[in-house]
Amino acid sequence: MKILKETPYRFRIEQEAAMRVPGIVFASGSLLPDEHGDMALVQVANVATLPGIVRASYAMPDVHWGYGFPIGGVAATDIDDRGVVSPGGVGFDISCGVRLLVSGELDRDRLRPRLRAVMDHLAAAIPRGVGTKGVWQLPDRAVLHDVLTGGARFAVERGHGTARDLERCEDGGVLAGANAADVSDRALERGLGQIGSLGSGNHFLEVQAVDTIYDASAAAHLGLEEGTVCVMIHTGSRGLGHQICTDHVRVMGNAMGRYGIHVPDRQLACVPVRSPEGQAYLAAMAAAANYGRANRQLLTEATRRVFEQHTATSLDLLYDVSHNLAKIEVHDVDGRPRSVCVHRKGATRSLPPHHADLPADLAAIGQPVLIPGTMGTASYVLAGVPDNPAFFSTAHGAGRVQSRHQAARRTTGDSLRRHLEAAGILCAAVPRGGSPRRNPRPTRTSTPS
Amino acid sequence: MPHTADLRIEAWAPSRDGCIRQAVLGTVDSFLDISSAGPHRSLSRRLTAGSDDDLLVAVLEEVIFLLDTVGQAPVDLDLQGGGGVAEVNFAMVDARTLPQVGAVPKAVSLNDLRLSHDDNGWRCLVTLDV
Repeated sequence: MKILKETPYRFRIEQEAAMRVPGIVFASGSLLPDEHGDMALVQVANVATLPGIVRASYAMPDVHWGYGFPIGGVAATDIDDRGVVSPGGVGFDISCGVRLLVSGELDRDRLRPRLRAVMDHLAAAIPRGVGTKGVWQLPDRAVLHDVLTGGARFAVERGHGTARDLERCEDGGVLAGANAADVSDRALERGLGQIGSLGSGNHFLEVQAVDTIYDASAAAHLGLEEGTVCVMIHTGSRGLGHQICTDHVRVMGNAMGRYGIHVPDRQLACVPVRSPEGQAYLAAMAAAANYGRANRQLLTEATRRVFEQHTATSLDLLYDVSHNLAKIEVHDVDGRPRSVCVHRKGATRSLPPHHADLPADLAAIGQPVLIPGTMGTASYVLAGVPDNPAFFSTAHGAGRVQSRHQAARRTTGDSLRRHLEAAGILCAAVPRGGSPRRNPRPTRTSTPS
Repeated sequence: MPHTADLRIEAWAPSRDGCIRQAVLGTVDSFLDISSAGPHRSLSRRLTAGSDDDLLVAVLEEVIFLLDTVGQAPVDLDLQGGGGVAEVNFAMVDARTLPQVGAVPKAVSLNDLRLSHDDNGWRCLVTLDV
């Protein structure tokens, strides 16, 4: 593999062998994945072989080794030129994403005396971990079907939020095109009891405070100032989304030979977007996306209840955006508008100011992008800018240089907790093995840059 | 096994079914401390798979499905069968009452999946999304 440094922050993987486009990595030299210990750049090159891919196989600054697609990868395929859709390009946790809640009345100093009580009650109110049930016990599958087609909008219609929440959700909180009939019985079974739960792994709920402001005008527009208390929620479509990905990778693995498609990795299984299998996946994926958005909406309601009871303050939704999704979008490619299927796996859509899909009150500053830091480091609120070549996409998190189990072997839960508490960070739960998964904690938010 | 995305399990045993059993036990050990587990409950499942590595995937997917839907995890299992169909008897415990020591698996990746044998026995390598 030949990698050229085009600028200090842009590297190019030369097009060779079966690659249809080059790979482009947005990173500094020190962020570039290690070619020998991390397969991420090979995966960027593998994605470049997908039928119909246009412009480049992109990698965001937090790119790291996934399976099939790298995490932090963006690929767009021309749906009118045999372009494909790949569930591996979305990931198992469909519509995994981040939302940020902001208190207009509470700052860090006012929260401090109430912080322990807030943390304790959040720990009790937010279901997480193995086998837990969500805060919204759906009575039957008919209501689950409503969630799959209605997303956060359905949750709000049922009283679990406000109309303004939906204005601050990507797609108004509901992704069009969902069809519960394309969701397997097994996926429905997994999804029935989990709505309104965090899960485990790197999913988290954090209480944060704004630490540094880089753009005063944009921050004021978003209701952020130094010391403002925020809550960041990172979770997705739970077992239902994972099962949908599993089911459709299998279907496509069996079908793609009929379309003359061969891929270097089974997890890259794909079919043309316009094929029956492609349409079925997109309909099921949209259903999972809606489940994920409703999930975050229900966790928002549970969080608001704790803040109202223990601080007598309310929380407004700043924005909710997914970072595991495929969307049909129109972009100019080679000088003409084309309908492309943009896969963002561990990458966040970042629309520029005045984009048609932005709500009016965000038009002036662009779409908010929410980038969680790792434990003990700042999270960031960014805003989209014009002329983004990666189909208006950017990073989604802090990246990763060690496996969870490598990290767990190098520390213990107690030492991790002590380290974080020494930095002023309270943890409601650290697993006994000390694995660096994320948990409710106060931390810092910097905004926007 | 090192993998920055998720959990990579390597297992080996003299037989194919023993190798799959070790992969399941290794998976459970990665996120659950079963040393204080209570009485076991027996649970049988009939699984179909077109190949050996697909059988490995099917068994692990069943474990994940049971975790999500009934909150139980296997502390042992026995596989019997052939010709694309396997009867799996799990010894299950309530996972919700046990200490969690790692992230819970949610899916089985087909990326770089391996199950093979040579003169020394069977060996598998599988990546789990957690």
